[in-house]
Amino acid sequence: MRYVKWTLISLLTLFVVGFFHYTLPQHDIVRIVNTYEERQDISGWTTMFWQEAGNGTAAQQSRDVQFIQAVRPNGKSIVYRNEDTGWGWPPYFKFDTANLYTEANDAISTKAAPEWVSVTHYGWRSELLSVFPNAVGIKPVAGPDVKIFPWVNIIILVGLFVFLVTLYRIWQQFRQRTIDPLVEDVEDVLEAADEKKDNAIDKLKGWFKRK
Amino acid sequence: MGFLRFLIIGFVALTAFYFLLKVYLRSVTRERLEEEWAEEGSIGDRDAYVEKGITEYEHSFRPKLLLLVYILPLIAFLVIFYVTNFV
Repeated sequence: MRYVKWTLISLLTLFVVGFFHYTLPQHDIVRIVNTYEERQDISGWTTMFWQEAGNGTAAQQSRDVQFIQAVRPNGKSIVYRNEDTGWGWPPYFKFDTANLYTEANDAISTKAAPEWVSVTHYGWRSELLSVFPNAVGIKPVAGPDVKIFPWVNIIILVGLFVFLVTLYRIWQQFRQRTIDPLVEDVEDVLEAADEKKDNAIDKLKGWFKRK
Repeated sequence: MGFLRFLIIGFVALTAFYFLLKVYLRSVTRERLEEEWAEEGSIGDRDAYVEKGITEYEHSFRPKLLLLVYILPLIAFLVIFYVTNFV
């Protein structure tokens, strides 16, 4: 039983951490080398790693998607997709895909004369599943060693924590002021009934004693 | 359509949270009034004291702060919208 419990807790933790790691914004310092558009046939369970259909495109799961190719300071490559999130999940309200594509093209630089940019994105890159993080912003930075402090993530996580604590407090207050008195009432009723029963039994016993 | 769905889901969720908070804050106020009544030496009718306090609370400025439940997410939305698309 203990193993089952800990397995469930680990899975739940993994899911929650994974969810935030996927959804919250991250910054990569990269050098953009190219952009391209490619038709994607989106199907199966990996559909959830793409934007839902009907976001400015027709409701079909085969469509052209823009990509941004970049190289990290350590020489490894990374490819982002460039899709509107629109009004859907996650709530980035990104509508400027075309502008971002232009900015990305404007930021293309060569190895000989690198221009470093910070690409804000969410999501994961998986070569195996052909999954790409979605770029939401491009900003020029001074060099490849720039570190960006995750203020936004801290604010969101603190806000969420405060929200959860508030919900917990609401539940505690509800329990203390509404459920507990009810339970006490029921217990009183049960006790009274118990006493009544005992009295009745005593009475019965009394009858038999008298005989 | 996406906008409508976003608006409706957001409005329903915020309204649910609004009413939860409203009931919670009134309950906390009631508890505080009951304790005040006991501290003041349990003079007079307890229910009347508490009801008077609740009426005073409802006419004060503090319950109106609850509208922040709608205002803060709206501000957050506007900021995210602006930063994502226009910065």
